[in-house]
Amino acid sequence: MEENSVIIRKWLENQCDKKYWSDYLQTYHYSTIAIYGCGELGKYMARDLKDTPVKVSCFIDQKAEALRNVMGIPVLTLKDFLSRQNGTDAIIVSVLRADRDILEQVCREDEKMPVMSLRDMIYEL
Amino acid sequence: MEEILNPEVKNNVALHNKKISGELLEQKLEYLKKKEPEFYQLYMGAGIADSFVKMCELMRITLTENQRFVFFLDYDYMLDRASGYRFGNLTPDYRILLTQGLRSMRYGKEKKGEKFCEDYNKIIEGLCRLVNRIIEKLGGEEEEKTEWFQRILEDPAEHFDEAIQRILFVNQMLWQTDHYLVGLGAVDAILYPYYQEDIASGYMSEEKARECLKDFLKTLHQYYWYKSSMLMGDTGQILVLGGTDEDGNYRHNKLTVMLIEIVRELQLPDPKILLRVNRKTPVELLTLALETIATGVGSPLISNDEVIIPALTAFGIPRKDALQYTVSACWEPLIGGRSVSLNNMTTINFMRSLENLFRREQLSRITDFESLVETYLVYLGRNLNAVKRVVRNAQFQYDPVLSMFIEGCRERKKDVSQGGAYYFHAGVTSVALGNVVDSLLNMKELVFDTGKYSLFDVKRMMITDYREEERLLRFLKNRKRQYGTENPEALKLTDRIMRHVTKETEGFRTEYGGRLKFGLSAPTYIDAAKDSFASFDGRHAGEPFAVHISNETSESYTEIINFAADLDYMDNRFNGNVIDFMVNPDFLRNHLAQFAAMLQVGIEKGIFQLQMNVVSSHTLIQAKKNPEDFPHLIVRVWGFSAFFNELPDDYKNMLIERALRNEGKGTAMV
Repeated sequence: MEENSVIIRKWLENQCDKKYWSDYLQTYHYSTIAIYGCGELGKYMARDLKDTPVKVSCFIDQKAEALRNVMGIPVLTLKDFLSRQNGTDAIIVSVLRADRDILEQVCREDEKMPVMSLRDMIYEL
Repeated sequence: MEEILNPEVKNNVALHNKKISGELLEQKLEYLKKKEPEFYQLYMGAGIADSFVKMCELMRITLTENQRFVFFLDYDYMLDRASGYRFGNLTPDYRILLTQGLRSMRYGKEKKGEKFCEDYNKIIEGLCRLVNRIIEKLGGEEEEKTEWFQRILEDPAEHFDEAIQRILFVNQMLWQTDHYLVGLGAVDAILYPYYQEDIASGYMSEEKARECLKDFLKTLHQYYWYKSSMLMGDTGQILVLGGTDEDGNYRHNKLTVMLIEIVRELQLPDPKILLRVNRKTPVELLTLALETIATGVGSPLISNDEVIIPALTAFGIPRKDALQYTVSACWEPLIGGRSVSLNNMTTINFMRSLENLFRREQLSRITDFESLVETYLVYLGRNLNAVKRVVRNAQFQYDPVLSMFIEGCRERKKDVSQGGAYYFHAGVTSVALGNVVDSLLNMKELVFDTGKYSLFDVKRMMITDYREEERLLRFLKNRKRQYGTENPEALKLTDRIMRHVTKETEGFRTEYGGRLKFGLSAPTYIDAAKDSFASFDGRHAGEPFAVHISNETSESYTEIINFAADLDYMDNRFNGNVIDFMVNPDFLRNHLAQFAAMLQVGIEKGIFQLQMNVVSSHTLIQAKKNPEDFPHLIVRVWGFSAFFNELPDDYKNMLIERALRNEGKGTAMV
């Protein structure tokens, strides 16, 4: 919880400095991303990217079956996502407590899929 | 709280752990709330100057019997709750209180209404009250000490021992107000005029001066657990000896030699010495330094004026000041007494950029080594954005106590937190450059030159920690590392990365216009590596990064010397660049003359700094197994010396690994 609040503070700081996720993601040439985790931070990110050149293709979440759809965006399991992908350029991991495990899991399943952690990115904007 | 007041307390490690965890602070607050509600209220809510005055009225004065100098800390009344980034890692200007009494430092009445001036005068008032309390406590029984303290109120110091007492008094007040890593500065140069005069007048013999210096160092060693910052021994109590004069000649004096000899004799890890050297440093002094290092005390660290002074002047620091440089707690050059440049604000983790590249990049786009390096530099730039952000966002705490002892603040009527000092640059350290250079060169060979592996294979190995790739891991681990050798590719790549950091940071300015500098040494080689993936230099996930500029797989010390001397430390690349040797004690003792000659060549060629761990793997392994048999074993960690027994296990293990490798015994998990 404490880490969440640090991230939200940094997020606010970025907003004040007019530093936006969409600009940052475009420096990587990403135009479509998937967000891993549709908790609080994942949803903020999706809202932040709404009406920007960077599209959110889906959320990835272990509870995909129960959630199905959040903010009008489909929720998939990692397995389902990797089998479809639909031109997604990268996965953004918003689950802070397990981002390292998720990175490893994604790499094991599909070594070509770029994956980034929100925890690192927030400082780099 | 009584146990804390006893400087001879034995359970240093336990107390240090309580301090680091914040448990002591909680205990203290409870204590104050009950016993000193008035101070507690001030402490929690009032300005720092009023709290300071009250603290001077209330803090317990501890006089230790048969101790030449007065020095005490009272943990209950530490002023450690100011908000903002704390100042530390600095050296005050002790001469400010050597050359005048406290009362003559006051601002006149015309400055009434100016907050800084009023607070400054309050701090002086507090100090005067404390001095009077000390005089009262001495009770006239110790005439000499009483006179020293009486003179602090009005007059400059007259004698050598009195000057030492004043240095200790300033030093004590900075610790008491929760500054961390308080440096001692150029003690040999500061004290020499007093020494000369006392010897000439017959006031004191050379032998007495030596005894005074010995007691000075012993006194500084008190409260070792409290003064230690993140690790036991990390006190920042560094004495900077020797140097270069205006004509480029080497300057040192009898006290330089005495202090090195005393450190060798006392065999305490703290305080520690840094010896400034240049190409004219007498070989006898270098030999004395090496003999001292050979005892295993870990000190002195050698710092090369031939490189550092030109780097400081090229950065814009006037030569007059550059000649007087000291260092922050470990190795980062600092204009002591005139600078509040915080030189260790955060760390550039070079490996983080490489990890990010492999996680985030479309690796299929990278088709040759050049584009790999180019892409790496882009990721490094992004990491540097994070570093700049940490530095830019630092809000410093208002600090009229430190401002009293930093030149510039009184004249400008400005606090250190508001740009009062002459210099307020920012420094960062860096870690893992060696691991990155070796990883990239391995990729060049195994991915692009021979095509044995793809970048996707490398990614998988990094992320899965070489699962099912044990053979490759062994191969990479056991091959000679290129960073720190005379391999021109390694040197060129290192230089290219360093220059890229300069390019990305040279335009950066802090709130008050300070610039950003960096160096290739960092204390974070264990902690920053803990959450890292494996790397393509044969390093397992979480294993420590290479220490400073080092290479245990190299058969020759001169190879590292040549590598380090060929690096370019100009622009902003001078925030500490230490070669770190592991040396077997017998080897050093048997080759002392050769080491001295090698050091002279290194100084001429242009190494930046050098430190050594002189200890065998056998001793370290035995000490880990049977700590009670090695109570005084000292090792070098980060940029300080520490008792081996007081270090956490991961530091012990790393030292053992390095010693084994250095002795050609390969690696052994310990």
